[in-house]
Amino acid sequence: MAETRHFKEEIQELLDNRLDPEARLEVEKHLELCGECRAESEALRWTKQFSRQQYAAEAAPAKLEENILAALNLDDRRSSHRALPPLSWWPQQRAILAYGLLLCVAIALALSYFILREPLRKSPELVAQQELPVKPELSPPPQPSPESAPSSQRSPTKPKLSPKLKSDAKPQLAAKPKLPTRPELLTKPQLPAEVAQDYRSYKAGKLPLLLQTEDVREMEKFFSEAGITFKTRVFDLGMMNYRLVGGGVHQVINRRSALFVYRGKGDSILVCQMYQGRVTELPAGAVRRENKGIQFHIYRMKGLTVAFWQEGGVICVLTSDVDPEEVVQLAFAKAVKV
Amino acid sequence: MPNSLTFDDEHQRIQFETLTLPFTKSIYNTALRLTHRPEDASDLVQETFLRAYRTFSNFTPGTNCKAWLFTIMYSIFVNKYRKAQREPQLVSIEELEEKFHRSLATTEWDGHVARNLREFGTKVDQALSELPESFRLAVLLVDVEEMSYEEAATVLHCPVGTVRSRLFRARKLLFVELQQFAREEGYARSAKV
Repeated sequence: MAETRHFKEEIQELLDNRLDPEARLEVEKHLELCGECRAESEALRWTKQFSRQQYAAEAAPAKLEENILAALNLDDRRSSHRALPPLSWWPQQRAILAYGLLLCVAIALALSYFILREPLRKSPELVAQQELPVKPELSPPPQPSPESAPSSQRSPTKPKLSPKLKSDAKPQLAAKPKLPTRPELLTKPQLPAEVAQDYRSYKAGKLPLLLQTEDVREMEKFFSEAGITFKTRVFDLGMMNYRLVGGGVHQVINRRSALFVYRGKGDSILVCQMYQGRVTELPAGAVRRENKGIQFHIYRMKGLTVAFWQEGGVICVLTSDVDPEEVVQLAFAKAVKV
Repeated sequence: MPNSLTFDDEHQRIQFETLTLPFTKSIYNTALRLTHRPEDASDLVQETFLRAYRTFSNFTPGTNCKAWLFTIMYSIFVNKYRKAQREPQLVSIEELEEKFHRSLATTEWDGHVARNLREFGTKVDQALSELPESFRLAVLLVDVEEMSYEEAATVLHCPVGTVRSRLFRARKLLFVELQQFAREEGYARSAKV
């Protein structure tokens, strides 16, 4: 009769649940028949269980967490003197850069306007031909002349402005490039793209959820405790076959937002964000739909549908890559007129 | 949290605390069993969290945060806290097997032994402390912290096979030590002798 082979590593693999079902069956069968291997297996199992119970985490010192937080605070203060990493730097400076750029454009336009005007002052003929306005005080005072010559024969040094020319002057002046008006400055052209990017980040696993929960109340409580100052309304989308998976505090155009995520059929993703804002900040290009007296602003961003609507002082936005009409209908179903 | 934090910083801070602080106790426990001194363990833990915070941008969301923290902690321990200590002399695998089987054959042990041993608290801890550091870590990471071999290998910067063999020997050594202790304290009867 052949000598029985004893199992060694296989016993440990069995103990640590690392065997495939077939190998597991083989080892278990062997253990039933071999007393020596069975004793070894039991001894190792006992040791593992004993270690888990005996050497598990003791209570950490009471002040340890407090000390860790104090160390982090100190590091935060020091890091304010260090260069900020690019990702955290960009959103803060983006608005300043945008305004700076607008200012530069405005200055450039003003300069070009004056530069263009300069040669016109020196060439009254051209001024007359182009019917451009010339300020009276910059031109020689017109001499009263009963025999008015054709404009082409007029002395270039003494242009005469007809009443018509004068009356045309205003519209010409008004036609100069407009500086952005206040409402235009307040729109956030990047808003839908930013929200769409958040969706993509989540889908790519780059936007972790601080709280994973299916409980809408727990999610709302979390937002309240995490410093979201407005009342959040985490939707129960169970009837629409979407279940909440969790959320976290995020930001939209440098404002804190409550971000929460749902999973639907076929693992489809629906990301909802709420932040304090106005729909007037939304850029042009939205398809507008109305339901229950609420205006919905819907954007299509490279395969994503982004639907915004206003509830009081809060903007709600749903983003998904599912059928656009499904996103719109979900928004219709959950929006509340405030 | 300092008032000077921007939204981004604040968001990152909240995210960091939410992900990492739940592991404070586990990190402290392993730190204590490595350094053997509560003050050193506290310092090691603080330093671990601080370094983790500074390199939080390197952490890939969705990956194992606990293993990431343990990796940082072990790296700091190796570079800063590990003293030139005299490691227990390693026994050969043959010698270990012989000791293990002798212990298995000459001791009657059961669940009561484990319960009684736990009453001894720190004395039983000594059995773990006497294991070579690499063996001790294998037990702490896999058996206590319930990490997979792969996660433990990442923390220890070694191949998975090394974790497997260290664990194999560590458990047997620990068993021998614990049985010896139980016999000495009268909690296990010598049998078949």
